[in-house]
Amino acid sequence: MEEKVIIQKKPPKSPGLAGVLSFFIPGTGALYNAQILKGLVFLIIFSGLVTIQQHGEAQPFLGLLLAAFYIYQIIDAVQTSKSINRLALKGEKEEKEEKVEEFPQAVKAGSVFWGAILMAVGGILLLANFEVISYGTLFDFWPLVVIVIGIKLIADYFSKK
Amino acid sequence: MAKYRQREPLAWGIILIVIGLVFLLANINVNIWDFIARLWPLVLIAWGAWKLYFGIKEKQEKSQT
Repeated sequence: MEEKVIIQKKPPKSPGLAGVLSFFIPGTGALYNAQILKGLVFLIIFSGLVTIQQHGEAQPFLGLLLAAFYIYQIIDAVQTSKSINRLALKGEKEEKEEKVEEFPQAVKAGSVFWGAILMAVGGILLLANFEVISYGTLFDFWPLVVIVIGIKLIADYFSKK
Repeated sequence: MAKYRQREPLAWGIILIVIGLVFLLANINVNIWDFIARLWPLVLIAWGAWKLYFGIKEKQEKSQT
């Protein structure tokens, strides 16, 4: 009889627990996933974003920024613990250890289109924040979003051809 | 996919420098939080610049091979 001793290098993580930790204290989910730097940075960014809320006169996007970051770090903690588990399973079979990625690929990947869009949106919001243009006129231009998506779809069609 | 991971230390470097600067200025200056409340779209611009830079770089590498 052959006895198998399973030695797990890393204990599997619970995605649920990671999510719950992040839900109550942002950053702790990443700490639980042994991403120390990320957890601490998330905690600092979150406290910074909370501090900002009282400053800058009634900007519509400040609260949204906080909400987006808060939700992002919960999803990220869950996804990271899932990929840690996936890699741990793979590691037992292949004896190959891979490192878990710290940022989603969509965040890191290069893209001329999205790079240009992000810079344009950032620039417009910057101008609005310094009251060069008002948020009122900005919101009047919302149909541009639809047009840009349309242009992107058409451009994708022709570049694949 | 591996090439994307090489970029992570670069991202962390930028993030840590920005955080360090913000808190340093908050400690010695007064109104840094008011400024950050207005200047935060710079984060979007930096992210966009990152994507643009690597997007152009990837395109060049693709056309070379």
